[in-house]
Amino acid sequence: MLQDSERIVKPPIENLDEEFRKEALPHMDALYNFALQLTQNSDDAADLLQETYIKAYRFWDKFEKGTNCKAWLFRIMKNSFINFYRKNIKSPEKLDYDEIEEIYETIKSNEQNPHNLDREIYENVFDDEIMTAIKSLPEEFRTVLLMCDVEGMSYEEIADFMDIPIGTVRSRIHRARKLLAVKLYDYAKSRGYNVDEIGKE
Amino acid sequence: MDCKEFQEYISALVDNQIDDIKRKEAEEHLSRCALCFFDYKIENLVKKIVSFKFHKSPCPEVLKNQIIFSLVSKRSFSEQLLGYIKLLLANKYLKTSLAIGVLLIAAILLIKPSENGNEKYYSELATVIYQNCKELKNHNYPEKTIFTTNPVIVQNFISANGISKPKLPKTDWVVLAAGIENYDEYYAAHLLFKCEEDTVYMMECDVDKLYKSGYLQFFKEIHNDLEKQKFVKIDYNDFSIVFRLEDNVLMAFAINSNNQHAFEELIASLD
Repeated sequence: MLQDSERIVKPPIENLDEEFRKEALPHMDALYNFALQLTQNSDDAADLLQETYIKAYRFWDKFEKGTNCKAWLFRIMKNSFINFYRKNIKSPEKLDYDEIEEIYETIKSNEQNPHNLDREIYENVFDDEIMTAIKSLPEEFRTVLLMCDVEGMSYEEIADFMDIPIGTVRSRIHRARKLLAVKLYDYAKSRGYNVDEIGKE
Repeated sequence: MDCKEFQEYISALVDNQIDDIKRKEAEEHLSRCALCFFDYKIENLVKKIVSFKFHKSPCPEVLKNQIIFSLVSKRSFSEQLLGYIKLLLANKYLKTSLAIGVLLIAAILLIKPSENGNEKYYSELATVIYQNCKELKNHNYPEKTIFTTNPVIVQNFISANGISKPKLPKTDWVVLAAGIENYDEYYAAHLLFKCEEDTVYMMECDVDKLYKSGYLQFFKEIHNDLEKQKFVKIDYNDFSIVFRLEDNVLMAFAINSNNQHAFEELIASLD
Protein backbone atom coordinates (compact mmCIF):
# COMPACT_ATOMS: atom_id res chain seq x y z
CA MET A 1 0.00 0.00 0.00
CA LEU A 2 1.13 3.50 -0.72
CA GLN A 3 1.31 6.18 1.86
CA ASP A 4 -1.65 8.50 1.94
CA SER A 5 0.50 11.38 0.86
CA GLU A 6 1.26 9.60 -2.38
CA ARG A 7 -2.34 9.01 -3.13
CA ILE A 8 -3.51 12.55 -2.90
CA VAL A 9 -3.24 14.32 -6.18
CA LYS A 10 -1.49 17.53 -5.39
CA PRO A 11 -0.99 20.41 -7.76
CA PRO A 12 2.10 19.67 -9.86
CA ILE A 13 4.02 22.38 -8.09
CA GLU A 14 7.36 21.00 -9.27
CA ASN A 15 6.43 22.17 -12.76
CA LEU A 16 6.74 25.77 -11.71
CA ASP A 17 9.95 27.67 -12.13
CA GLU A 18 12.05 26.92 -9.08
CA GLU A 19 12.88 30.54 -8.29
CA PHE A 20 9.25 31.52 -8.62
CA ARG A 21 8.29 28.74 -6.26
CA LYS A 22 10.79 29.89 -3.66
CA GLU A 23 10.40 33.64 -4.06
CA ALA A 24 6.80 34.29 -5.02
CA LEU A 25 4.61 31.48 -3.69
CA PRO A 26 5.37 32.04 0.02
CA HIS A 27 3.77 35.49 -0.17
CA MET A 28 0.35 34.14 -1.09
CA ASP A 29 -1.07 34.59 2.40
CA ALA A 30 0.09 38.19 2.68
CA LEU A 31 -1.18 38.98 -0.79
CA TYR A 32 -4.50 37.34 -0.10
CA ASN A 33 -4.89 39.62 2.90
CA PHE A 34 -3.98 42.60 0.84
CA ALA A 35 -6.49 41.53 -1.82
CA LEU A 36 -9.15 41.24 0.88
CA GLN A 37 -8.34 44.72 2.08
CA LEU A 38 -8.51 46.15 -1.40
CA THR A 39 -11.63 44.40 -2.60
CA GLN A 40 -13.42 43.96 0.72
CA ASN A 41 -14.84 40.59 -0.25
CA SER A 42 -13.43 37.11 -0.64
CA ASP A 43 -14.68 36.39 -4.17
CA ASP A 44 -13.04 39.43 -5.69
CA ALA A 45 -9.99 38.84 -3.52
CA ALA A 46 -9.62 35.32 -4.93
CA ASP A 47 -9.88 36.62 -8.50
CA LEU A 48 -7.43 39.40 -7.82
CA LEU A 49 -4.95 37.03 -6.22
CA GLN A 50 -5.15 34.63 -9.13
CA GLU A 51 -4.74 37.41 -11.65
CA THR A 52 -1.76 38.77 -9.75
CA TYR A 53 0.02 35.42 -9.74
CA ILE A 54 -0.71 34.73 -13.37
CA LYS A 55 0.73 38.12 -14.30
CA ALA A 56 3.71 37.65 -12.01
CA TYR A 57 4.44 34.28 -13.56
CA ARG A 58 4.10 35.58 -17.08
CA PHE A 59 6.48 38.45 -16.35
CA TRP A 60 8.77 36.53 -14.02
CA ASP A 61 11.79 37.21 -16.24
CA LYS A 62 11.13 40.94 -15.71
CA PHE A 63 11.57 40.58 -11.96
CA GLU A 64 15.00 41.80 -10.92
CA LYS A 65 16.53 38.98 -8.94
CA GLY A 66 17.67 40.00 -5.52
CA THR A 67 15.16 42.82 -5.15
CA ASN A 68 12.13 42.64 -2.92
CA CYS A 69 9.77 40.12 -4.46
CA LYS A 70 6.99 40.83 -2.01
CA ALA A 71 6.93 44.52 -2.91
CA TRP A 72 6.98 43.57 -6.58
CA LEU A 73 3.97 41.30 -6.15
CA PHE A 74 2.15 43.93 -4.12
CA ARG A 75 2.72 46.40 -6.92
CA ILE A 76 1.32 44.02 -9.52
CA MET A 77 -1.70 43.47 -7.34
CA LYS A 78 -2.27 47.15 -6.79
CA ASN A 79 -2.06 47.88 -10.52
CA SER A 80 -4.40 45.01 -11.35
CA PHE A 81 -6.79 46.27 -8.77
CA ILE A 82 -6.74 49.79 -10.13
CA ASN A 83 -7.22 48.59 -13.69
CA PHE A 84 -10.01 46.12 -13.22
CA TYR A 85 -11.61 46.30 -9.84
CA ARG A 86 -11.61 49.75 -8.45
CA LYS A 87 -14.30 51.11 -10.72
CA ASN A 88 -16.72 48.48 -9.47
CA ILE A 89 -16.12 49.13 -5.83
CA LYS A 90 -17.82 51.83 -3.89
CA SER A 91 -15.21 54.05 -2.34
CA PRO A 92 -15.74 55.24 1.20
CA GLU A 93 -17.21 58.66 1.67
CA LYS A 94 -14.80 61.53 1.50
CA LEU A 95 -13.61 62.53 4.91
CA ASP A 96 -13.10 66.07 6.04
CA TYR A 97 -9.73 65.69 7.69
CA ASP A 98 -9.84 69.12 9.34
CA GLU A 99 -13.05 68.19 11.06
CA ILE A 100 -11.47 65.02 12.39
CA GLU A 101 -8.53 67.03 13.60
CA GLU A 102 -10.90 69.25 15.55
CA ILE A 103 -12.63 66.30 17.17
CA TYR A 104 -9.26 64.85 18.03
CA GLU A 105 -8.22 68.09 19.72
CA THR A 106 -11.44 68.07 21.74
CA ILE A 107 -10.72 64.55 22.93
CA LYS A 108 -7.21 65.57 23.74
CA SER A 109 -8.32 68.52 25.86
CA ASN A 110 -10.72 66.27 27.78
CA GLU A 111 -8.18 63.54 28.31
CA GLN A 112 -5.00 64.58 29.93
CA ASN A 113 -3.98 61.04 30.76
CA PRO A 114 -3.55 58.82 27.69
CA HIS A 115 -3.23 55.68 29.84
CA ASN A 116 -6.93 55.77 30.67
CA LEU A 117 -7.80 56.01 27.01
CA ASP A 118 -5.48 53.15 26.33
CA ARG A 119 -7.26 50.87 28.76
CA GLU A 120 -10.78 51.94 27.89
CA ILE A 121 -10.41 51.76 24.16
CA TYR A 122 -8.47 48.57 24.15
CA GLU A 123 -10.92 46.77 26.36
CA ASN A 124 -14.15 48.24 25.10
CA VAL A 125 -13.91 48.25 21.36
CA PHE A 126 -15.00 45.11 19.60
CA ASP A 127 -12.99 43.51 16.85
CA ASP A 128 -15.64 44.09 14.22
CA GLU A 129 -15.77 47.75 15.18
CA ILE A 130 -12.06 47.96 14.55
CA MET A 131 -12.60 46.38 11.15
CA THR A 132 -15.40 48.82 10.38
CA ALA A 133 -13.24 51.73 11.44
CA ILE A 134 -10.36 50.54 9.26
CA LYS A 135 -12.65 49.99 6.29
CA SER A 136 -14.04 53.48 6.60
CA LEU A 137 -10.62 55.06 6.14
CA PRO A 138 -9.96 56.68 2.80
CA GLU A 139 -8.25 54.14 0.59
CA GLU A 140 -4.88 55.87 0.37
CA PHE A 141 -4.68 55.97 4.18
CA ARG A 142 -5.97 52.48 4.73
CA THR A 143 -3.57 50.85 2.31
CA VAL A 144 -0.52 52.53 3.81
CA LEU A 145 -1.58 51.84 7.39
CA LEU A 146 -2.27 48.16 6.80
CA MET A 147 0.96 47.65 4.93
CA CYS A 148 2.76 49.08 7.92
CA ASP A 149 0.85 47.59 10.86
CA VAL A 150 -0.44 44.33 9.42
CA GLU A 151 2.07 43.39 6.74
CA GLY A 152 5.00 44.83 8.66
CA MET A 153 6.53 46.59 5.66
CA SER A 154 9.10 49.32 6.22
CA TYR A 155 8.37 52.93 5.27
CA GLU A 156 10.86 52.59 2.48
CA GLU A 157 9.09 49.56 1.03
CA ILE A 158 5.74 51.31 1.28
CA ALA A 159 7.11 54.44 -0.39
CA ASP A 160 8.56 52.32 -3.14
CA PHE A 161 5.37 50.39 -3.57
CA MET A 162 3.00 53.36 -3.51
CA ASP A 163 5.38 55.50 -5.48
CA ILE A 164 5.19 58.34 -2.98
CA PRO A 165 7.90 60.11 -0.94
CA ILE A 166 8.73 58.76 2.51
CA GLY A 167 7.47 61.99 4.09
CA THR A 168 4.05 61.25 2.60
CA VAL A 169 4.14 57.74 4.05
CA ARG A 170 4.84 59.24 7.48
CA SER A 171 2.03 61.76 7.27
CA ARG A 172 -0.50 59.28 5.87
CA ILE A 173 0.18 56.80 8.63
CA HIS A 174 -0.03 59.54 11.23
CA ARG A 175 -3.32 60.84 9.85
CA ALA A 176 -4.77 57.36 9.48
CA ARG A 177 -4.06 56.68 13.13
CA LYS A 178 -5.62 59.94 14.21
CA LEU A 179 -8.75 59.11 12.24
CA LEU A 180 -8.87 55.69 13.81
CA ALA A 181 -8.31 57.09 17.28
CA VAL A 182 -11.33 59.35 16.89
CA LYS A 183 -13.52 56.54 15.60
CA LEU A 184 -12.43 54.07 18.25
CA TYR A 185 -12.95 56.70 20.92
CA ASP A 186 -16.53 57.09 19.71
CA TYR A 187 -17.10 53.36 19.89
CA ALA A 188 -15.59 53.13 23.36
CA LYS A 189 -17.78 55.99 24.50
CA SER A 190 -20.90 54.33 23.14
CA ARG A 191 -19.98 51.30 25.26
CA GLY A 192 -20.74 53.39 28.33
CA TYR A 193 -17.33 54.84 28.76
CA ASN A 194 -17.76 58.19 30.40
CA VAL A 195 -15.32 60.78 29.17
CA ASP A 196 -15.96 63.28 31.94
CA GLU A 197 -15.40 60.85 34.77
CA ILE A 198 -12.17 59.56 33.43
CA GLY A 199 -11.05 63.14 33.00
CA LYS A 200 -11.55 63.74 36.73
CA GLU A 201 -9.48 60.84 37.86
CA MET B 1 12.77 69.75 17.54
CA ASP B 2 9.58 71.75 17.96
CA CYS B 3 6.00 70.46 18.10
CA LYS B 4 5.44 70.95 14.39
CA GLU B 5 8.45 68.89 13.41
CA PHE B 6 7.70 66.30 16.05
CA GLN B 7 4.23 65.81 14.59
CA GLU B 8 5.88 65.14 11.26
CA TYR B 9 8.00 62.34 12.70
CA ILE B 10 5.60 60.94 15.26
CA SER B 11 4.56 57.95 13.14
CA ALA B 12 8.15 57.19 12.23
CA LEU B 13 9.05 57.18 15.92
CA VAL B 14 6.19 54.83 16.77
CA ASP B 15 7.11 52.50 13.92
CA ASN B 16 10.82 52.70 14.56
CA GLN B 17 11.40 54.02 11.06
CA ILE B 18 13.55 56.94 12.06
CA ASP B 19 17.28 57.54 11.99
CA ASP B 20 19.27 57.88 15.22
CA ILE B 21 19.76 61.63 15.06
CA LYS B 22 16.06 62.38 14.55
CA ARG B 23 15.14 59.84 17.18
CA LYS B 24 17.26 61.61 19.79
CA GLU B 25 15.70 64.94 18.91
CA ALA B 26 12.21 63.47 18.98
CA GLU B 27 12.72 61.74 22.33
CA GLU B 28 14.14 64.90 23.77
CA HIS B 29 11.04 66.80 22.66
CA LEU B 30 8.81 64.08 24.04
CA SER B 31 10.33 64.40 27.50
CA ARG B 32 9.33 68.03 27.82
CA CYS B 33 6.04 68.34 25.88
CA ALA B 34 2.97 66.80 27.51
CA LEU B 35 0.73 67.50 24.53
CA CYS B 36 2.97 65.71 22.09
CA PHE B 37 3.45 62.92 24.60
CA PHE B 38 -0.32 62.44 24.53
CA ASP B 39 -0.31 62.20 20.74
CA TYR B 40 2.56 59.78 20.87
CA LYS B 41 0.76 57.50 23.33
CA ILE B 42 -2.42 57.58 21.26
CA GLU B 43 -0.56 56.76 18.09
CA ASN B 44 1.13 53.86 19.86
CA LEU B 45 -2.21 52.66 21.13
CA VAL B 46 -3.81 52.72 17.70
CA LYS B 47 -0.87 50.86 16.21
CA LYS B 48 -1.13 48.25 18.94
CA ILE B 49 -4.85 47.83 18.31
CA VAL B 50 -4.49 47.53 14.56
CA SER B 51 -1.64 45.06 14.64
CA PHE B 52 -3.05 42.89 17.40
CA LYS B 53 -6.72 42.97 16.63
CA PHE B 54 -6.69 43.01 12.89
CA HIS B 55 -7.44 39.47 11.85
CA LYS B 56 -5.32 38.04 9.14
CA SER B 57 -7.09 35.50 7.02
CA PRO B 58 -4.78 32.87 5.59
CA CYS B 59 -5.27 32.16 1.94
CA PRO B 60 -7.55 29.09 1.65
CA GLU B 61 -5.67 25.95 0.53
CA VAL B 62 -8.18 25.31 -2.23
CA LEU B 63 -7.48 28.73 -3.69
CA LYS B 64 -3.73 28.21 -3.45
CA ASN B 65 -3.96 24.93 -5.32
CA GLN B 66 -6.28 26.39 -7.89
CA ILE B 67 -3.80 29.16 -8.59
CA ILE B 68 -0.89 26.77 -8.86
CA PHE B 69 -2.87 24.65 -11.29
CA SER B 70 -3.67 27.69 -13.35
CA LEU B 71 0.01 28.68 -13.43
CA VAL B 72 1.05 25.22 -14.50
CA SER B 73 -1.50 25.19 -17.28
CA LYS B 74 0.23 28.27 -18.69
CA ARG B 75 3.33 26.19 -19.25
CA SER B 76 4.09 24.55 -22.52
CA PHE B 77 2.35 21.31 -23.19
CA SER B 78 5.42 19.13 -22.88
CA GLU B 79 6.30 20.62 -19.51
CA GLN B 80 2.77 20.06 -18.32
CA LEU B 81 2.85 16.52 -19.49
CA LEU B 82 5.80 15.55 -17.36
CA GLY B 83 4.01 16.90 -14.33
CA TYR B 84 0.89 14.94 -15.00
CA ILE B 85 2.82 11.80 -15.65
CA LYS B 86 4.44 12.16 -12.26
CA LEU B 87 0.96 12.38 -10.87
CA LEU B 88 -0.16 9.32 -12.75
CA LEU B 89 2.80 7.38 -11.48
CA ALA B 90 1.83 8.12 -7.93
CA ASN B 91 -1.18 5.92 -8.44
CA LYS B 92 -0.99 2.46 -7.02
CA TYR B 93 -2.28 0.77 -10.16
CA LEU B 94 0.74 1.95 -12.02
CA LYS B 95 3.24 0.36 -9.73
CA THR B 96 2.91 -3.04 -11.32
CA SER B 97 5.20 -3.90 -14.16
CA LEU B 98 2.52 -4.52 -16.71
CA ALA B 99 -0.04 -2.29 -15.22
CA ILE B 100 -2.56 -2.58 -17.91
CA GLY B 101 -3.62 0.52 -16.48
CA VAL B 102 -7.17 0.39 -16.12
CA LEU B 103 -6.44 3.48 -14.21
CA LEU B 104 -9.96 4.19 -14.33
CA ILE B 105 -12.60 2.53 -12.44
CA ALA B 106 -14.33 4.40 -15.11
CA ALA B 107 -17.16 6.56 -15.84
CA ILE B 108 -19.05 7.85 -18.75
CA LEU B 109 -20.85 11.04 -18.36
CA LEU B 110 -23.42 11.84 -20.92
CA ILE B 111 -23.55 15.53 -20.34
CA LYS B 112 -23.74 17.57 -23.48
CA PRO B 113 -21.05 20.20 -23.81
CA SER B 114 -22.25 23.53 -22.60
CA GLU B 115 -22.86 26.28 -25.09
CA ASN B 116 -20.59 28.49 -23.07
CA GLY B 117 -17.65 26.26 -23.81
CA ASN B 118 -15.86 23.60 -21.91
CA GLU B 119 -14.99 25.58 -18.89
CA LYS B 120 -18.52 26.04 -17.70
CA TYR B 121 -19.33 22.47 -18.49
CA TYR B 122 -16.28 21.40 -16.63
CA SER B 123 -17.16 23.28 -13.49
CA GLU B 124 -20.71 21.97 -13.53
CA LEU B 125 -19.37 18.49 -13.85
CA ALA B 126 -17.04 19.06 -10.95
CA THR B 127 -19.88 20.26 -8.82
CA VAL B 128 -22.04 17.26 -9.61
CA ILE B 129 -19.28 14.80 -8.89
CA TYR B 130 -18.17 16.54 -5.77
CA GLN B 131 -21.63 16.74 -4.29
CA ASN B 132 -22.32 13.13 -5.03
CA CYS B 133 -19.04 12.05 -3.55
CA LYS B 134 -19.81 13.89 -0.38
CA GLU B 135 -23.14 12.14 -0.28
CA LEU B 136 -21.47 8.79 -0.81
CA LYS B 137 -19.31 9.27 2.22
CA ASN B 138 -22.33 8.53 4.36
CA HIS B 139 -23.09 5.26 2.65
CA ASN B 140 -20.08 3.10 3.46
CA TYR B 141 -19.67 1.69 0.03
CA PRO B 142 -16.93 -0.89 -0.48
CA GLU B 143 -13.56 0.36 -1.54
CA LYS B 144 -14.08 -0.41 -5.18
CA THR B 145 -17.33 0.95 -6.34
CA ILE B 146 -18.76 1.88 -9.66
CA PHE B 147 -21.94 3.69 -10.33
CA THR B 148 -23.55 3.23 -13.67
CA THR B 149 -26.74 2.46 -15.47
CA ASN B 150 -24.87 0.80 -18.30
CA PRO B 151 -24.94 -2.98 -17.77
CA VAL B 152 -21.93 -3.58 -20.02
CA ILE B 153 -19.77 -1.27 -17.98
CA VAL B 154 -20.99 -2.83 -14.77
CA GLN B 155 -20.18 -6.30 -16.04
CA ASN B 156 -16.72 -5.32 -17.20
CA PHE B 157 -15.96 -3.61 -13.97
CA ILE B 158 -17.15 -6.51 -11.89
CA SER B 159 -15.14 -9.10 -13.74
CA ALA B 160 -12.04 -6.90 -13.91
CA ASN B 161 -12.06 -6.33 -10.19
CA GLY B 162 -13.37 -9.67 -9.01
CA ILE B 163 -16.23 -8.14 -7.13
CA SER B 164 -18.75 -10.68 -5.91
CA LYS B 165 -21.53 -8.54 -4.59
CA PRO B 166 -21.89 -5.32 -6.53
CA LYS B 167 -24.02 -2.67 -4.95
CA LEU B 168 -25.97 -0.26 -7.03
CA PRO B 169 -26.69 3.20 -5.77
CA LYS B 170 -29.99 4.97 -5.81
CA THR B 171 -29.18 8.44 -6.88
CA ASP B 172 -30.49 10.59 -9.62
CA TRP B 173 -27.14 11.39 -11.10
CA VAL B 174 -26.86 13.14 -14.35
CA VAL B 175 -23.81 11.02 -14.74
CA LEU B 176 -24.23 7.52 -15.96
CA ALA B 177 -21.14 6.25 -14.29
CA ALA B 178 -18.32 7.33 -12.08
CA GLY B 179 -15.59 5.47 -10.33
CA ILE B 180 -14.87 6.46 -6.81
CA GLU B 181 -12.15 5.21 -4.59
CA ASN B 182 -12.62 5.48 -0.91
CA TYR B 183 -9.46 6.53 0.81
CA ASP B 184 -9.35 7.17 4.50
CA GLU B 185 -9.65 10.88 4.32
CA TYR B 186 -10.96 11.68 0.91
CA TYR B 187 -12.55 10.31 -2.20
CA ALA B 188 -10.72 10.14 -5.45
CA ALA B 189 -12.66 9.99 -8.65
CA HIS B 190 -11.45 8.15 -11.69
CA LEU B 191 -13.54 9.47 -14.43
CA LEU B 192 -14.27 9.24 -18.05
CA PHE B 193 -16.23 12.17 -19.18
CA LYS B 194 -17.65 13.16 -22.41
CA CYS B 195 -16.93 16.58 -23.68
CA GLU B 196 -17.46 16.31 -27.39
CA GLU B 197 -20.07 14.60 -29.47
CA ASP B 198 -18.61 11.12 -29.32
CA THR B 199 -15.35 11.54 -27.49
CA VAL B 200 -14.71 10.53 -23.95
CA TYR B 201 -11.82 11.72 -21.90
CA MET B 202 -10.40 10.03 -18.92
CA MET B 203 -9.32 11.85 -15.87
CA GLU B 204 -8.13 10.87 -12.49
CA CYS B 205 -8.22 13.29 -9.67
CA ASP B 206 -8.93 14.18 -6.14
CA VAL B 207 -12.47 15.41 -6.35
CA ASP B 208 -11.68 18.44 -4.23
CA LYS B 209 -9.18 19.58 -6.75
CA LEU B 210 -11.13 18.70 -9.84
CA TYR B 211 -12.37 22.19 -10.40
CA LYS B 212 -10.26 24.22 -12.77
CA SER B 213 -7.40 21.79 -12.57
CA GLY B 214 -6.37 21.98 -16.21
CA TYR B 215 -6.72 18.28 -16.99
CA LEU B 216 -9.18 18.95 -19.72
CA GLN B 217 -6.68 20.64 -21.97
CA PHE B 218 -4.19 17.87 -21.32
CA PHE B 219 -6.45 15.11 -22.55
CA LYS B 220 -7.67 17.14 -25.47
CA GLU B 221 -4.11 17.55 -26.69
CA ILE B 222 -3.51 13.85 -26.49
CA HIS B 223 -6.75 13.15 -28.23
CA ASN B 224 -5.78 15.43 -31.08
CA ASP B 225 -2.59 13.44 -31.53
CA LEU B 226 -4.50 10.18 -31.46
CA GLU B 227 -6.50 11.25 -34.43
CA LYS B 228 -3.31 11.06 -36.44
CA GLN B 229 -1.71 8.02 -34.88
CA LYS B 230 -2.70 4.80 -33.13
CA PHE B 231 -1.05 5.53 -29.84
CA VAL B 232 0.92 8.16 -27.98
CA LYS B 233 3.87 6.95 -25.99
CA ILE B 234 5.56 9.12 -23.44
CA ASP B 235 8.68 7.94 -21.68
CA TYR B 236 9.30 8.98 -18.18
CA ASN B 237 12.05 7.51 -16.02
CA ASP B 238 11.38 3.79 -15.71
CA PHE B 239 7.93 4.05 -17.11
CA SER B 240 6.29 4.57 -20.42
CA ILE B 241 2.78 5.83 -20.58
CA VAL B 242 0.81 4.75 -23.57
CA PHE B 243 -2.38 6.48 -24.49
CA ARG B 244 -4.80 5.04 -26.99
CA LEU B 245 -8.43 5.20 -27.96
CA GLU B 246 -10.80 2.35 -27.38
CA ASP B 247 -14.22 2.96 -28.85
CA ASN B 248 -13.55 6.64 -28.53
CA VAL B 249 -12.60 6.26 -24.92
CA LEU B 250 -9.17 7.58 -24.11
CA MET B 251 -7.25 5.00 -22.12
CA ALA B 252 -3.92 5.29 -20.40
CA PHE B 253 -1.55 2.41 -19.74
CA ALA B 254 1.64 2.40 -17.77
CA ILE B 255 4.37 -0.02 -18.71
CA ASN B 256 7.74 -0.67 -17.24
CA SER B 257 10.19 0.64 -19.82
CA ASN B 258 12.35 -2.48 -19.54
CA ASN B 259 9.45 -4.69 -20.45
CA GLN B 260 9.58 -4.40 -24.23
CA HIS B 261 7.45 -7.48 -24.56
CA ALA B 262 4.57 -5.93 -22.67
CA PHE B 263 4.73 -2.90 -24.86
CA GLU B 264 4.65 -4.93 -28.05
CA GLU B 265 1.74 -6.93 -26.72
CA LEU B 266 -0.17 -3.80 -25.93
CA ILE B 267 0.44 -2.29 -29.33
CA ALA B 268 -0.45 -5.53 -31.07
CA SER B 269 -3.77 -5.60 -29.27
CA LEU B 270 -4.70 -2.38 -31.00
CA ASP B 271 -5.16 -4.10 -34.33
